[in-house]
Amino acid sequence: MSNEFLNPATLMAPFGYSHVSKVSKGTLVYIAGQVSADVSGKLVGEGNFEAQVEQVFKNLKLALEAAGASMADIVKMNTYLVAEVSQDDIPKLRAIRDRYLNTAKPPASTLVVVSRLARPGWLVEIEVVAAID
Amino acid sequence: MSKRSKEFISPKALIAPGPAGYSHVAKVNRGAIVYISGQVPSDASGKLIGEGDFEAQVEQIFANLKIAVEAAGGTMADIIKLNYYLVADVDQAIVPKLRPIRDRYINVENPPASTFVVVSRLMRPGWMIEIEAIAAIDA
Repeated sequence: MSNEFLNPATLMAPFGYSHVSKVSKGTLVYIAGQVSADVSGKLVGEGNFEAQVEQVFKNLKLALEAAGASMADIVKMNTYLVAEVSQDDIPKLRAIRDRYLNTAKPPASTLVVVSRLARPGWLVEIEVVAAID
Repeated sequence: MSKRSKEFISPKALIAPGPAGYSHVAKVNRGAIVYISGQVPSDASGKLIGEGDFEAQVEQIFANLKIAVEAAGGTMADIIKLNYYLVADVDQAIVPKLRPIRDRYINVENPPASTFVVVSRLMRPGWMIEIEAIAAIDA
């Protein structure tokens, strides 16, 4: 894998992400924002933040594998939480995330809290970019 | 290989982005792609810089973006995309104060494609804005 993950000492120490990822060659894979739905479209984990995060990461894995990529190939991750998710629940997201990602070389990441997502009941949506050789 | 490694395009049929300091289109023909995490107004120790001071926060964020892109071997002029996330409780009237700060950092001749949205909140209270970037660096 030729992707580089960089953390300049002059930026704040990141928690489970990298400040910079650099893709010098290979194929880019863009994954749509994944939500807590199963293959039938049914909401998984209504009102259960952890169950939803788990389903989202499962879906990301399925999507990446369809492109011949793995979770370790993720170079960028954008997380969208809905405002009703408590700030206190965010550490729960990290614990699940860290089971799926390569924690030695985590992707560059952005997390924001939005008013709502496309469907009521969705508490979190995560999109990623991967780069494979 | 005479084609430039990247091009910034603003079609005349789209709203003129001129004064807003962005391009509608950035095209990457070759080179390395660099993803930069959303930068926030924190110094290297993680301390919030510019509490309640929008301009100070924007200045710190662009300084952080510069550190990040340079760590990858690039410059601010290599940034092809900026995404801005402004917190909803920031007064819309102070948003234009962002532009002169941005314009000191980016290449105003070829500014990046950009998106600006307002979000409910960010990861930590006190952060008024977060900015993420994608750069393309000649190999």
